[in-house]
Amino acid sequence: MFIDIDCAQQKKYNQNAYGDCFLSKRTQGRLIAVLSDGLGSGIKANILSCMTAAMLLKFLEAGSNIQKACEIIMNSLPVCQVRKISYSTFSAIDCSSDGTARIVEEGNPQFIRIRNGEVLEPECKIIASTTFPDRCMRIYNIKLEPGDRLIFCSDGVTQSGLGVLKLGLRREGLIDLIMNKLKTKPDISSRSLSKYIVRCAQYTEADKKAKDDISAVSIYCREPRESLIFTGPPFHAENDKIYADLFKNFSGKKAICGGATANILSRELNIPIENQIPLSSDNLPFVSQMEGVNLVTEGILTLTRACEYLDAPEPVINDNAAGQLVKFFLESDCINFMVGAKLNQAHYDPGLPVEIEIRKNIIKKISKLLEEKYIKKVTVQYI
Amino acid sequence: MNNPPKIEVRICNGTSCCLMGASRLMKLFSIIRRRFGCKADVLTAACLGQCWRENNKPPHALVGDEIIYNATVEKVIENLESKL
Repeated sequence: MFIDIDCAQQKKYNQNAYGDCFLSKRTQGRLIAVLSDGLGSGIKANILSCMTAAMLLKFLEAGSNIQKACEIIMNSLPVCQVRKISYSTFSAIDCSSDGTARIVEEGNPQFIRIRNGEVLEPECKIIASTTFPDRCMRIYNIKLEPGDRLIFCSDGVTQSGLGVLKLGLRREGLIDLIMNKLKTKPDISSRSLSKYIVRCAQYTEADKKAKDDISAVSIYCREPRESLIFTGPPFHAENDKIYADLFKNFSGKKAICGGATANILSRELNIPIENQIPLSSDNLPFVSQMEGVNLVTEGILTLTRACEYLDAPEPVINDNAAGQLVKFFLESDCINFMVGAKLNQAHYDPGLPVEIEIRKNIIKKISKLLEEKYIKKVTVQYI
Repeated sequence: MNNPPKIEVRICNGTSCCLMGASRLMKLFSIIRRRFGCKADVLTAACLGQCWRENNKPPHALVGDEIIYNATVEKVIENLESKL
Protein backbone atom coordinates (compact mmCIF):
# COMPACT_ATOMS: atom_id res chain seq x y z
CA MET A 1 0.00 0.00 0.00
CA PHE A 2 1.26 3.46 -0.84
CA ILE A 3 0.49 6.54 1.22
CA ASP A 4 0.06 9.58 -0.98
CA ILE A 5 0.54 12.72 1.08
CA ASP A 6 0.58 16.36 0.08
CA CYS A 7 -0.01 19.77 1.53
CA ALA A 8 -1.30 23.00 0.04
CA GLN A 9 -1.00 26.37 1.72
CA GLN A 10 -2.08 29.98 1.40
CA LYS A 11 -0.56 32.91 3.25
CA LYS A 12 -2.66 35.35 5.21
CA TYR A 13 -3.63 38.35 3.11
CA ASN A 14 -0.88 40.99 2.99
CA GLN A 15 1.72 38.75 4.62
CA ASN A 16 4.85 37.60 2.90
CA ALA A 17 5.58 34.42 4.88
CA TYR A 18 3.55 31.36 5.68
CA GLY A 19 2.49 31.11 9.31
CA ASP A 20 1.84 27.36 9.09
CA CYS A 21 4.53 24.80 8.48
CA PHE A 22 4.24 21.33 6.99
CA LEU A 23 7.16 18.90 6.98
CA SER A 24 7.19 15.25 6.05
CA LYS A 25 9.63 12.50 5.33
CA ARG A 26 9.71 8.87 4.32
CA THR A 27 12.20 7.02 6.43
CA GLN A 28 12.84 3.32 7.05
CA GLY A 29 9.53 2.28 5.55
CA ARG A 30 7.59 4.82 7.62
CA LEU A 31 5.98 8.09 6.71
CA ILE A 32 6.26 10.85 9.27
CA ALA A 33 4.67 14.26 8.90
CA VAL A 34 3.98 17.31 11.03
CA LEU A 35 1.64 20.24 10.45
CA SER A 36 2.19 23.15 12.80
CA ASP A 37 0.33 26.45 13.09
CA GLY A 38 2.30 29.30 14.62
CA LEU A 39 0.72 32.01 16.77
CA GLY A 40 -0.26 35.09 14.79
CA SER A 41 0.88 35.48 11.21
CA GLY A 42 3.81 36.51 9.09
CA ILE A 43 7.45 36.02 10.02
CA LYS A 44 6.79 35.47 13.73
CA ALA A 45 4.29 32.70 13.07
CA ASN A 46 6.55 31.27 10.41
CA ILE A 47 9.47 30.94 12.80
CA LEU A 48 7.32 29.46 15.58
CA SER A 49 5.64 26.89 13.35
CA CYS A 50 8.87 25.93 11.55
CA MET A 51 10.63 25.39 14.87
CA THR A 52 7.85 23.23 16.25
CA ALA A 53 7.52 21.18 13.07
CA ALA A 54 11.28 20.72 12.64
CA MET A 55 11.78 19.66 16.27
CA LEU A 56 8.93 17.16 16.15
CA LEU A 57 10.04 15.72 12.83
CA LYS A 58 13.57 15.24 14.17
CA PHE A 59 12.18 13.54 17.27
CA LEU A 60 10.09 11.15 15.18
CA GLU A 61 12.86 10.50 12.70
CA ALA A 62 15.21 9.54 15.51
CA GLY A 63 12.72 6.84 16.44
CA SER A 64 11.17 8.45 19.52
CA ASN A 65 7.73 7.31 20.54
CA ILE A 66 5.29 9.78 19.00
CA GLN A 67 3.30 10.17 22.23
CA LYS A 68 6.42 10.84 24.25
CA ALA A 69 7.80 13.28 21.65
CA CYS A 70 4.56 15.23 21.45
CA GLU A 71 4.22 15.34 25.24
CA ILE A 72 7.66 16.87 25.56
CA ILE A 73 6.85 19.50 22.95
CA MET A 74 3.42 20.23 24.50
CA ASN A 75 4.88 20.65 27.97
CA SER A 76 7.70 22.87 26.82
CA LEU A 77 6.12 25.19 24.23
CA PRO A 78 6.26 28.68 25.69
CA VAL A 79 3.28 31.00 26.17
CA CYS A 80 3.04 34.37 24.43
CA GLN A 81 3.54 37.15 27.00
CA VAL A 82 0.97 39.39 25.30
CA ARG A 83 -1.83 37.03 24.35
CA LYS A 84 -1.25 34.38 27.00
CA ILE A 85 -1.75 31.53 24.55
CA SER A 86 0.69 28.92 23.33
CA TYR A 87 3.21 29.74 20.67
CA SER A 88 2.08 27.06 18.27
CA THR A 89 -0.23 24.10 17.77
CA PHE A 90 0.53 20.90 15.88
CA SER A 91 -0.63 17.62 14.37
CA ALA A 92 1.89 14.80 14.07
CA ILE A 93 1.47 11.66 11.97
CA ASP A 94 3.51 8.46 12.01
CA CYS A 95 2.40 5.76 9.55
CA SER A 96 4.13 2.48 8.87
CA SER A 97 3.89 0.74 5.52
CA ASP A 98 1.43 -1.88 6.84
CA GLY A 99 -1.09 0.92 7.51
CA THR A 100 -0.74 1.28 11.28
CA ALA A 101 -0.88 4.96 12.05
CA ARG A 102 -0.45 6.96 15.22
CA ILE A 103 -1.66 10.50 15.20
CA VAL A 104 -1.29 13.17 17.86
CA GLU A 105 -3.03 16.54 17.77
CA GLU A 106 -2.53 19.50 20.02
CA GLY A 107 -4.63 22.59 19.39
CA ASN A 108 -5.21 21.96 15.67
CA PRO A 109 -8.70 21.10 14.35
CA GLN A 110 -9.54 17.42 14.59
CA PHE A 111 -8.61 15.50 11.44
CA ILE A 112 -11.22 13.97 9.14
CA ARG A 113 -11.09 10.28 8.34
CA ILE A 114 -12.98 9.05 5.30
CA ARG A 115 -13.56 5.45 4.28
CA ASN A 116 -15.89 4.35 1.46
CA GLY A 117 -17.53 7.75 1.28
CA GLU A 118 -18.29 7.91 5.01
CA VAL A 119 -16.71 9.91 7.77
CA LEU A 120 -15.44 7.74 10.62
CA GLU A 121 -14.98 9.11 14.10
CA PRO A 122 -11.93 7.34 15.50
CA GLU A 123 -11.52 6.87 19.24
CA CYS A 124 -8.94 8.99 20.94
CA LYS A 125 -7.12 9.16 24.22
CA ILE A 126 -6.76 12.59 25.78
CA ILE A 127 -3.65 13.49 27.72
CA ALA A 128 -3.51 16.75 29.63
CA SER A 129 -0.32 18.73 29.94
CA THR A 130 1.47 18.55 33.27
CA THR A 131 2.78 22.10 33.02
CA PHE A 132 -0.03 24.00 31.28
CA PRO A 133 -3.54 23.17 32.49
CA ASP A 134 -5.22 24.53 29.34
CA ARG A 135 -3.32 22.26 26.96
CA CYS A 136 -4.20 18.70 26.09
CA MET A 137 -3.42 16.43 23.23
CA ARG A 138 -5.49 13.79 21.46
CA ILE A 139 -3.85 10.50 20.56
CA TYR A 140 -5.27 8.17 17.93
CA ASN A 141 -4.19 4.66 17.00
CA ILE A 142 -5.75 3.73 13.70
CA LYS A 143 -5.33 1.16 10.97
CA LEU A 144 -5.36 2.53 7.46
CA GLU A 145 -6.75 0.49 4.60
CA PRO A 146 -6.51 1.00 0.85
CA GLY A 147 -8.90 3.76 -0.20
CA ASP A 148 -8.80 5.56 3.15
CA ARG A 149 -8.31 9.29 3.29
CA LEU A 150 -7.22 11.54 6.13
CA ILE A 151 -7.52 15.31 5.99
CA PHE A 152 -5.66 17.58 8.35
CA CYS A 153 -5.97 21.33 8.35
CA SER A 154 -5.04 24.44 10.25
CA ASP A 155 -7.78 26.54 11.85
CA GLY A 156 -7.46 28.89 8.89
CA VAL A 157 -9.59 26.39 6.95
CA THR A 158 -12.31 25.66 9.50
CA GLN A 159 -12.62 29.33 10.49
CA SER A 160 -12.54 30.70 6.97
CA GLY A 161 -15.50 32.85 5.98
CA LEU A 162 -16.28 34.05 9.50
CA GLY A 163 -18.73 36.86 8.98
CA VAL A 164 -19.66 35.80 5.46
CA LEU A 165 -21.04 32.52 6.76
CA LYS A 166 -22.38 32.97 10.28
CA LEU A 167 -19.84 30.71 11.95
CA GLY A 168 -17.38 30.25 9.16
CA LEU A 169 -16.80 27.10 7.15
CA ARG A 170 -16.39 24.87 10.24
CA ARG A 171 -15.67 21.16 10.23
CA GLU A 172 -19.12 20.30 8.86
CA GLY A 173 -18.72 22.65 5.90
CA LEU A 174 -15.31 21.23 5.16
CA ILE A 175 -16.66 17.66 5.26
CA ASP A 176 -19.42 18.64 2.81
CA LEU A 177 -16.87 20.19 0.45
CA ILE A 178 -14.65 17.12 0.50
CA MET A 179 -17.55 14.68 0.11
CA ASN A 180 -18.92 16.54 -2.89
CA LYS A 181 -15.48 16.58 -4.50
CA LEU A 182 -15.00 12.86 -3.84
CA LYS A 183 -18.37 12.08 -5.43
CA THR A 184 -17.28 13.64 -8.70
CA LYS A 185 -13.62 12.56 -8.49
CA PRO A 186 -13.29 9.48 -6.27
CA ASP A 187 -9.62 8.89 -7.06
CA ILE A 188 -8.42 12.49 -6.78
CA SER A 189 -4.77 12.75 -5.74
CA SER A 190 -3.68 14.25 -2.45
CA ARG A 191 -2.03 17.09 -4.30
CA SER A 192 -5.24 18.11 -6.07
CA LEU A 193 -7.48 17.57 -3.06
CA SER A 194 -5.35 19.68 -0.71
CA LYS A 195 -5.16 22.44 -3.32
CA TYR A 196 -8.92 22.28 -3.76
CA ILE A 197 -9.56 22.61 -0.01
CA VAL A 198 -7.25 25.62 0.27
CA ARG A 199 -8.86 27.30 -2.74
CA CYS A 200 -12.37 26.72 -1.36
CA ALA A 201 -11.37 28.08 2.05
CA GLN A 202 -9.90 31.18 0.46
CA TYR A 203 -12.96 31.73 -1.73
CA THR A 204 -15.24 31.49 1.31
CA GLU A 205 -13.57 34.57 2.75
CA ALA A 206 -14.88 38.06 2.07
CA ASP A 207 -13.17 39.43 -1.08
CA LYS A 208 -11.29 36.10 -1.32
CA LYS A 209 -8.65 37.47 1.03
CA ALA A 210 -7.38 34.93 3.55
CA LYS A 211 -7.73 36.25 7.11
CA ASP A 212 -5.45 33.61 8.55
CA ASP A 213 -2.86 31.22 7.15
CA ILE A 214 -4.64 28.34 5.42
CA SER A 215 -3.10 24.86 5.19
CA ALA A 216 -4.59 21.52 4.23
CA VAL A 217 -2.83 18.16 4.30
CA SER A 218 -4.35 15.21 2.51
CA ILE A 219 -3.37 11.57 2.96
CA TYR A 220 -4.66 8.97 0.54
CA CYS A 221 -3.87 5.25 0.84
CA ARG A 222 -3.91 3.42 -2.45
CA GLU A 223 -2.15 0.93 -4.61
CA PRO A 224 1.06 2.56 -5.74
CA ARG A 225 1.48 3.81 -9.30
CA GLU A 226 4.79 2.23 -10.24
CA SER A 227 7.04 3.47 -12.98
CA LEU A 228 10.36 2.44 -14.47
CA ILE A 229 12.87 4.68 -16.20
CA PHE A 230 15.58 2.98 -18.23
CA THR A 231 18.50 5.27 -19.01
CA GLY A 232 21.91 4.43 -20.40
CA PRO A 233 23.24 1.23 -21.97
CA PRO A 234 24.08 -1.62 -19.52
CA PHE A 235 27.78 -1.92 -18.67
CA HIS A 236 28.10 -5.46 -20.04
CA ALA A 237 26.55 -5.65 -23.47
CA GLU A 238 25.84 -9.38 -23.02
CA ASN A 239 23.30 -8.45 -20.32
CA ASP A 240 21.26 -6.27 -22.69
CA LYS A 241 18.73 -9.05 -23.25
CA ILE A 242 18.20 -9.71 -19.52
CA TYR A 243 17.53 -6.04 -18.76
CA ALA A 244 15.39 -5.60 -21.84
CA ASP A 245 13.20 -8.49 -20.65
CA LEU A 246 13.00 -6.99 -17.16
CA PHE A 247 11.89 -3.75 -18.76
CA LYS A 248 9.33 -5.49 -20.95
CA ASN A 249 7.82 -7.45 -18.06
CA PHE A 250 7.50 -4.46 -15.75
CA SER A 251 3.82 -3.90 -15.07
CA GLY A 252 3.70 -0.13 -14.46
CA LYS A 253 4.43 2.86 -16.65
CA LYS A 254 7.70 2.88 -18.56
CA ALA A 255 10.03 5.50 -19.96
CA ILE A 256 13.32 5.37 -21.85
CA CYS A 257 15.74 8.27 -21.60
CA GLY A 258 18.54 7.91 -24.12
CA GLY A 259 18.88 7.43 -27.86
CA ALA A 260 21.35 4.54 -27.64
CA THR A 261 19.27 2.96 -24.85
CA ALA A 262 16.16 3.15 -27.02
CA ASN A 263 18.07 1.51 -29.87
CA ILE A 264 19.20 -1.36 -27.61
CA LEU A 265 15.68 -1.99 -26.29
CA SER A 266 14.23 -1.71 -29.76
CA ARG A 267 16.74 -4.30 -31.01
CA GLU A 268 16.30 -6.73 -28.08
CA LEU A 269 12.53 -6.51 -27.88
CA ASN A 270 11.96 -6.17 -31.60
CA ILE A 271 9.83 -3.06 -31.25
CA PRO A 272 10.50 -0.35 -33.84
CA ILE A 273 11.12 3.23 -32.74
CA GLU A 274 8.79 5.63 -34.44
CA ASN A 275 9.78 9.20 -34.88
CA GLN A 276 6.87 11.41 -35.50
CA ILE A 277 7.09 14.83 -36.94
CA PRO A 278 8.48 17.05 -34.21
CA LEU A 279 6.05 19.52 -32.67
CA SER A 280 7.55 21.64 -29.93
CA SER A 281 11.28 21.54 -29.37
CA ASP A 282 12.41 24.37 -27.12
CA ASN A 283 16.00 23.45 -28.03
CA LEU A 284 15.56 19.95 -26.63
CA PRO A 285 15.72 16.72 -28.60
CA PHE A 286 12.30 15.42 -29.60
CA VAL A 287 10.21 12.65 -28.14
CA SER A 288 10.01 9.34 -30.03
CA GLN A 289 7.40 6.58 -29.74
CA MET A 290 7.66 2.88 -29.03
CA GLU A 291 4.76 0.53 -28.62
CA GLY A 292 4.26 -0.38 -24.96
CA VAL A 293 6.49 2.43 -23.71
CA ASN A 294 4.89 5.58 -22.36
CA LEU A 295 7.72 7.98 -23.10
CA VAL A 296 10.94 7.81 -25.16
CA THR A 297 13.32 10.76 -24.95
CA GLU A 298 16.96 11.63 -25.42
CA GLY A 299 19.14 11.10 -22.33
CA ILE A 300 21.44 13.59 -20.64
CA LEU A 301 20.10 16.89 -22.03
CA THR A 302 16.47 15.99 -21.31
CA LEU A 303 17.26 14.67 -17.83
CA THR A 304 19.28 17.80 -17.02
CA ARG A 305 16.41 20.04 -18.10
CA ALA A 306 13.86 17.89 -16.23
CA CYS A 307 15.99 18.30 -13.11
CA GLU A 308 15.86 22.08 -13.52
CA TYR A 309 12.07 21.93 -13.97
CA LEU A 310 11.68 19.83 -10.81
CA ASP A 311 13.91 22.21 -8.87
CA ALA A 312 11.80 25.25 -9.79
CA PRO A 313 9.45 26.55 -7.06
CA GLU A 314 6.50 25.13 -9.04
CA PRO A 315 7.32 22.14 -11.27
CA VAL A 316 7.28 23.11 -14.95
CA ILE A 317 5.07 20.90 -17.11
CA ASN A 318 5.09 21.82 -20.78
CA ASP A 319 5.06 20.20 -24.22
CA ASN A 320 8.75 19.54 -24.65
CA ALA A 321 10.46 16.26 -23.77
CA ALA A 322 11.61 17.41 -20.31
CA GLY A 323 8.16 18.76 -19.45
CA GLN A 324 6.61 15.44 -20.39
CA LEU A 325 9.20 13.62 -18.31
CA VAL A 326 8.35 15.80 -15.29
CA LYS A 327 4.67 14.97 -15.82
CA PHE A 328 5.61 11.28 -15.98
CA PHE A 329 7.47 11.58 -12.64
CA LEU A 330 4.68 13.46 -10.90
CA GLU A 331 2.06 10.94 -12.00
CA SER A 332 3.98 8.11 -10.32
CA ASP A 333 4.35 7.17 -6.65
CA CYS A 334 7.19 4.66 -6.79
CA ILE A 335 9.83 5.54 -9.33
CA ASN A 336 12.47 2.97 -10.26
CA PHE A 337 15.53 4.01 -12.19
CA MET A 338 17.58 1.46 -14.14
CA VAL A 339 20.77 3.30 -14.91
CA GLY A 340 23.18 1.80 -17.42
CA ALA A 341 26.73 2.37 -16.30
CA LYS A 342 28.35 2.23 -19.70
CA LEU A 343 30.13 5.43 -20.63
CA ASN A 344 29.46 6.97 -23.99
CA GLN A 345 32.99 7.83 -25.10
CA ALA A 346 31.61 10.47 -27.43
CA HIS A 347 30.38 12.49 -24.44
CA TYR A 348 33.95 12.90 -23.22
CA ASP A 349 35.12 14.49 -26.43
CA PRO A 350 36.81 17.74 -25.37
CA GLY A 351 35.20 19.36 -28.42
CA LEU A 352 31.73 19.11 -26.84
CA PRO A 353 30.28 21.94 -24.74
CA VAL A 354 30.83 21.60 -20.99
CA GLU A 355 27.10 21.54 -20.15
CA ILE A 356 27.03 17.80 -20.55
CA GLU A 357 26.53 16.07 -17.20
CA ILE A 358 27.53 12.64 -16.03
CA ARG A 359 24.46 10.39 -16.00
CA LYS A 360 24.99 9.07 -12.48
CA ASN A 361 25.19 12.60 -11.07
CA ILE A 362 22.07 13.83 -12.75
CA ILE A 363 20.10 10.76 -11.65
CA LYS A 364 21.35 11.33 -8.11
CA LYS A 365 20.09 14.92 -8.21
CA ILE A 366 16.72 13.97 -9.69
CA SER A 367 16.12 11.14 -7.22
CA LYS A 368 17.00 13.41 -4.29
CA LEU A 369 14.53 16.02 -5.53
CA LEU A 370 11.80 13.46 -6.12
CA GLU A 371 12.29 11.97 -2.67
CA GLU A 372 12.63 15.14 -0.64
CA LYS A 373 10.57 17.71 -2.50
CA TYR A 374 7.89 15.54 -4.07
CA ILE A 375 7.82 12.79 -1.40
CA LYS A 376 8.10 9.95 -3.93
CA LYS A 377 9.53 6.51 -3.27
CA VAL A 378 12.63 6.22 -5.44
CA THR A 379 14.94 3.29 -6.11
CA VAL A 380 18.04 3.47 -8.30
CA GLN A 381 19.67 0.38 -9.73
CA TYR A 382 22.95 0.60 -11.61
CA ILE A 383 23.31 -2.00 -14.29
CA MET B 1 3.04 3.79 -63.32
CA ASN B 2 4.29 3.30 -59.75
CA ASN B 3 6.27 6.09 -58.18
CA PRO B 4 9.79 5.10 -57.08
CA PRO B 5 10.08 4.65 -53.27
CA LYS B 6 10.76 7.82 -51.37
CA ILE B 7 14.27 8.44 -50.07
CA GLU B 8 14.30 8.70 -46.29
CA VAL B 9 16.28 11.44 -44.60
CA ARG B 10 16.85 11.04 -40.87
CA ILE B 11 18.29 13.62 -38.55
CA CYS B 12 19.97 12.26 -35.45
CA ASN B 13 18.37 13.42 -32.23
CA GLY B 14 21.01 12.00 -29.86
CA THR B 15 22.92 13.87 -27.19
CA SER B 16 26.14 14.61 -29.06
CA CYS B 17 24.36 15.60 -32.26
CA CYS B 18 21.98 17.93 -30.43
CA LEU B 19 24.85 19.57 -28.62
CA MET B 20 26.75 20.01 -31.85
CA GLY B 21 23.98 21.71 -33.75
CA ALA B 22 21.36 19.19 -34.86
CA SER B 23 18.75 21.86 -34.16
CA ARG B 24 20.10 23.81 -37.16
CA LEU B 25 19.23 20.81 -39.31
CA MET B 26 15.58 21.10 -38.34
CA LYS B 27 15.19 23.60 -41.18
CA LEU B 28 15.44 20.54 -43.41
CA PHE B 29 11.90 19.59 -42.41
CA SER B 30 10.39 22.51 -44.26
CA ILE B 31 12.99 22.65 -47.06
CA ILE B 32 12.75 18.97 -48.01
CA ARG B 33 8.98 18.91 -47.77
CA ARG B 34 8.69 21.95 -49.96
CA ARG B 35 11.28 21.03 -52.57
CA PHE B 36 11.22 17.23 -52.61
CA GLY B 37 7.79 16.57 -51.11
CA CYS B 38 6.92 13.57 -53.30
CA LYS B 39 10.43 12.13 -53.57
CA ALA B 40 11.80 12.29 -50.03
CA ASP B 41 10.63 11.92 -46.43
CA VAL B 42 12.29 13.59 -43.51
CA LEU B 43 12.20 12.24 -39.94
CA THR B 44 14.22 12.37 -36.75
CA ALA B 45 16.04 9.36 -35.27
CA ALA B 46 16.49 8.56 -31.57
CA CYS B 47 20.20 8.01 -32.21
CA LEU B 48 21.95 6.93 -35.39
CA GLY B 49 24.59 5.20 -33.29
CA GLN B 50 27.50 6.93 -34.98
CA CYS B 51 28.78 8.71 -31.87
CA TRP B 52 30.39 5.49 -30.65
CA ARG B 53 32.86 5.53 -33.49
CA GLU B 54 35.94 7.67 -33.49
CA ASN B 55 36.61 10.61 -35.79
CA ASN B 56 32.98 10.98 -36.80
CA LYS B 57 32.12 14.53 -36.07
CA PRO B 58 28.49 15.13 -35.07
CA PRO B 59 25.82 16.11 -36.02
CA HIS B 60 24.87 13.15 -38.15
CA ALA B 61 22.19 12.68 -40.76
CA LEU B 62 21.21 9.67 -42.79
CA VAL B 63 20.22 10.07 -46.45
CA GLY B 64 18.96 6.78 -47.82
CA ASP B 65 21.61 4.47 -46.39
CA GLU B 66 24.49 6.91 -46.40
CA ILE B 67 25.61 8.60 -43.17
CA ILE B 68 26.65 12.22 -43.41
CA TYR B 69 29.11 13.42 -40.77
CA ASN B 70 29.37 17.01 -39.60
CA ALA B 71 26.09 17.54 -41.40
CA THR B 72 24.83 20.90 -42.54
CA VAL B 73 21.65 21.79 -44.40
CA GLU B 74 23.66 22.32 -47.62
CA LYS B 75 25.51 19.01 -47.33
CA VAL B 76 22.29 17.05 -46.82
CA ILE B 77 20.49 18.76 -49.71
CA GLU B 78 23.47 18.24 -51.99
CA ASN B 79 23.62 14.54 -51.11
CA LEU B 80 19.89 14.13 -51.52
CA GLU B 81 19.93 15.82 -54.94
CA SER B 82 22.70 13.49 -56.11
CA LYS B 83 20.49 10.51 -55.23
CA LEU B 84 17.36 11.72 -56.99
